[in-house]
Amino acid sequence: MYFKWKNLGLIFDLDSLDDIPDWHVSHAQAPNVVDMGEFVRVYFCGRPAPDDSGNFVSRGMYADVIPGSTFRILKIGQSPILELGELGEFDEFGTYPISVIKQSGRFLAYYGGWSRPKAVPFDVALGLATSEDGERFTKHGNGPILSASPDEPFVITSPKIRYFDGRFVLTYTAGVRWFEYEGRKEIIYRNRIAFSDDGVSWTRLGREIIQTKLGKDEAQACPDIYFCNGEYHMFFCYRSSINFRDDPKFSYKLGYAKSVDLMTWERDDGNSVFVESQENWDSEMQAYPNVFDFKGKTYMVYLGNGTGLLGFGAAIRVDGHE
Amino acid sequence: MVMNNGWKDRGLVIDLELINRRHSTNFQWAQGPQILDMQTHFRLYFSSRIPDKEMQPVSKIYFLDFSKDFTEKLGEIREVKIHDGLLGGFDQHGVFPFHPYMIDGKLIMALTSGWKRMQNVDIDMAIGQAVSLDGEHFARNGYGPLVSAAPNEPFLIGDPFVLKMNDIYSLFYIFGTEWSDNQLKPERTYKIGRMRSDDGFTFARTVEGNRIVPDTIKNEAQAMPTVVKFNEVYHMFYCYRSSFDFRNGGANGYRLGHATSSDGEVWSLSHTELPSVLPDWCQNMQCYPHAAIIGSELYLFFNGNMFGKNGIGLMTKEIGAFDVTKL
Repeated sequence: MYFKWKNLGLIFDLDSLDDIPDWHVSHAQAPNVVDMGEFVRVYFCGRPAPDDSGNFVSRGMYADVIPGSTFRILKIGQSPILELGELGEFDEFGTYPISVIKQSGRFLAYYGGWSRPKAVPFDVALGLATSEDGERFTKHGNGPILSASPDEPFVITSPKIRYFDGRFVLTYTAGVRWFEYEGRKEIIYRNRIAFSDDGVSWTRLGREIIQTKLGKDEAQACPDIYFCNGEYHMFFCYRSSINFRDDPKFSYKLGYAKSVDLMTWERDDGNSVFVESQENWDSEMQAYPNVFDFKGKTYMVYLGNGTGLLGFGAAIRVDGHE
Repeated sequence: MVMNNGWKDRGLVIDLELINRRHSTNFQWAQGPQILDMQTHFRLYFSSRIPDKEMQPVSKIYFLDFSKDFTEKLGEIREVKIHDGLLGGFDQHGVFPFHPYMIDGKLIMALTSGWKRMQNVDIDMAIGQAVSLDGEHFARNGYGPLVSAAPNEPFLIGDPFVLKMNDIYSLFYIFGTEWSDNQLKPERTYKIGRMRSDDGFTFARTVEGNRIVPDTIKNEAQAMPTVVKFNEVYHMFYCYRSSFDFRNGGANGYRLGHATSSDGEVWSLSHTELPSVLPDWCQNMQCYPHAAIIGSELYLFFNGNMFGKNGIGLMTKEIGAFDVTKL
């Protein structure tokens, strides 16, 4: 089974939408879809104006959308779906990324909560929040649900939540090391996986699950799992941990791996390809994929150049298996 | 000798001024005393602050060996050999306190209270783990924390103390409940909690955010629980202070607390068992206690004035002198 994707372009284009809330000044990052029947709700993260110290504090949002060869935007939520943490809490400085699942009639949001240590620009741990309507979420406590552990020392982030065979499956990334390069603190993180019966207490597999392609400097993110034909397919993004901001060669690209048991993964990036890419949109970068089915078709929402600065895009599966 | 509720003041067992003069060292702090029975002698661990590259204080762990009655120092202060925390890690800015404990009377374990400086509040804390065969060289269990924040214990997880209670191990510790921003700078409040373990290696909360020791004062912050058992009763010593205006000691500063329990879970305050007269070295502040039963006496190590700037003091009391009718 292979995956061929036809690029549908920047389907959520911040510049062309007129009902973006005033507080939301840039970015639509890490899109993540929940099937609502006649439409899908795309959760994503947007940025208000930077704070006094020039840093951004990312907030969760949603848009209701009907996927197709073009995407029709029905509604854009006007308020952040989730409050920031209080002074000293793990999510005081942002909630990004956010992954939502609807399970037993309830919406569960797993999100990266951002704090600011002195020695490095940020740390991240995962929080949980729940909602009845999927529009406003209530936090499960003021602390994280999954944070650093002996072999996952910091930056626990990039959650993707799924439910397979009667249990919750959480893929995420864990920091490997911080290092200084050209005056900046850079972080390497890699894909990990954890399992839970109740969505609250988690058992981690306790090791990296995806082989690197770029060697020891490879950073991996957004491990999104799509199940079909008896196999688990993981779409994720990866980049070099240095020079990725300026040189397109080192910026985020999509990776692919498959598994039958969720624990052993075989990486094969060539098994998922785009038919074409668009200049000025995703020619340099593809990142933060989320794959979903809607009315018999398979789609991917993802970020292109600038990691969501302009909005997010989509692709439709066109390999004959869709 | 003055009647002091049965307590005998043994003075500073680590007197930094004296030690620095004798050994030409320059220790500025000896905080968070913790002892380990090395069979032939006792080892007293503590943290001392040294400046890092940015001239900010970082706590490192040291030890000094003592004769079994703590009357005689054996050798000099040595540094515990353990890898430093990682850049961005939970203990990048030091370990205080460092709590050693034994498993099956053989393996030396340690739980470490790791410090990480933050931008908006002073610090965060989480508990790490290490293992040793000789009590001097410790191997870390990874570079992340063993016990850290949870939904209802959102930050500042520290001050670990492990006690084997019949078939289970209890971990007494503190968790943060609030950063208050109604003062000039954010001030923290923490409370004492308890976790359990079957094997002494991994610990789990039974009830998250459960405070096990009642408050004595308003805006109370509790720290450094240490527990011993005698006469079928568990005795906890700890320190408490106001969350505000506590740094100069006195009325809002740290003082010792004492609580008793029959099961380790439900605790009653019993401060009247504590010393009633305070010697000079701890006149203005009493903090960071560590208790042990040695022979027929309860040994209480703790820091005095200025959070342990002078060193570590010791007071002892015959077990038989505790008033059992109060328990």
